[in-house]
Amino acid sequence: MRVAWELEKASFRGQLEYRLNFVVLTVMGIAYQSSGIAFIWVVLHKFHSIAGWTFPDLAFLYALRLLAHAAWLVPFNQVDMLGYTIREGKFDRFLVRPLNPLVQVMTNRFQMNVVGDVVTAATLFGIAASIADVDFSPVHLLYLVLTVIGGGLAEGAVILAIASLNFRFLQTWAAQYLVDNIYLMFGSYPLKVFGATTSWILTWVLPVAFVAYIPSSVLLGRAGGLHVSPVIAWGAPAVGAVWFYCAYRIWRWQLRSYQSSGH
Amino acid sequence: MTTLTAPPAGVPTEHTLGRNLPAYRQIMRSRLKTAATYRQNVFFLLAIVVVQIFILRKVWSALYQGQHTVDGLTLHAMLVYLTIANLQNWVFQDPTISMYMYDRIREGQVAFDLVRPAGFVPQMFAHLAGSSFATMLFALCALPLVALAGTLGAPASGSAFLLYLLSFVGGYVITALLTLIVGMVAFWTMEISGLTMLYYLVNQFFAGALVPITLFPGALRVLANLLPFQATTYAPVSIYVGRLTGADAWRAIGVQVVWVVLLTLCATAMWRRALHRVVVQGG
Repeated sequence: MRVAWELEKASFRGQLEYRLNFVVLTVMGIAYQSSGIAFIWVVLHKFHSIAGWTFPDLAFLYALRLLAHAAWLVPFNQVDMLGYTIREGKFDRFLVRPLNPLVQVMTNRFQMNVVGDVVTAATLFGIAASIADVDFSPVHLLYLVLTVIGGGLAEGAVILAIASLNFRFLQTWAAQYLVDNIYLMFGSYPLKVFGATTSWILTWVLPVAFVAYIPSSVLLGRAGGLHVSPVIAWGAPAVGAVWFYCAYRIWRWQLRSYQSSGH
Repeated sequence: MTTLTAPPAGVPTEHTLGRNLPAYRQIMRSRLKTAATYRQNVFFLLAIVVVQIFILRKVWSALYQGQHTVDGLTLHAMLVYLTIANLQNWVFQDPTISMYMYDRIREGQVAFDLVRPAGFVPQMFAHLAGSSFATMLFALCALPLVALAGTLGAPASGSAFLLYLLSFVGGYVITALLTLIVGMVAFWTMEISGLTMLYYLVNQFFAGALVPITLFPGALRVLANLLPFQATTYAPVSIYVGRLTGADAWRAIGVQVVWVVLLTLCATAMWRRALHRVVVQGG
């Protein structure tokens, strides 16, 4: 764990060397993550609500998704680059070192746009939490912390599982990009907008609903209008953990079929 | 070093353009082949647009909530607008060209591009045209899927369709010039991936692909009208669905012409300076 932390710090410092790039990528991270809320803000200037959700509610949902996304990205942003690492033949060295290969992937080369993601997530959450009608009781706070982690795992599990396929197919970035976008685009709205079938798929086939829609419904006191029972809604963080456990098993299983791309 | 700067400018005369036509055709053909090879990736990128169109349809249907028209557009017309705007915007945007320019410049291969008889800027336009043509073919194949996810509908009238085609070309040229300008920034910054992404986001928003710009709140609408992005998407697609007709439609096309002239001037000025940068880098 301490080794992992030192490696992470080193990779972060390494990227800080490129100052201009750092600024541009951070700005890009902020713009990328704020663009969705900009859309919601613009349309709610003209219209009152989306499916009964007003701007403060939607902002809270959006910010919660960003927090979960950041919770996944900060430690795991390198998983996105796995395909590249493998194609360059750099993965070989991870296998000969006495440290879990996944931890080595995590600490490989910090992607600076993540700083933008974190800044946006924290800022928007601060704003959303102050304008939305949320009762921050100790139970709610505990749920909030757990659900941010669980939501990050629910998103990351799918990304990790697809990235694992890199060991066999050598290129999956477009599929990862699609999944990333599905979480981003569907995850930012109350799922009931999309109808019962899509909601069901985005709950039980892909765990998008557990990232922010279900947790924010609980925290905003809207759990009654959900398509799942309150027990499942309160258990949302556990769902993410289960998904991640399965994804890690897939990673281990695919790792066995790794073949070096050679040098 | 002087030989490198010998091809005087990015815009060749009629004569050289004709002579180099086979070369441009070759570039376009190789671009088509590249696109065909990476069709798997294109499929995923197309899937993102289809998902986006589906989401916009559902969200806008929820927003209308039984209102018949909003700002002169019925829900049906609005959904047709959003579907076509997003598909068209996807066909227009080509991040691979600015990345290609960036790679050529960073690795110094731009020197080889410069000594070729065909001008560098026309070469880049040939790349862009080939790749856009491929994207357009993919988009046409995906139309049934797009119709399922979004809403496709006939243009408001026959004349609306003809004006749309005219305005479509204008929008494409503006987008191509913007892509070239973004790519040329690589001559100065040596880093472009962040900028390309930023450009894509700003463009998508201010082009009116998510919300027609007439629905933007006050100051934002003024800003959107002052930027070239609305002329790439909002103008043509509004003509298609009949939101802009008659004199308004012609005014929108006039604005497109103004942007083509302004951006061409801007690109030419940038190109002149960029050539000097190449000499500095090589020397």
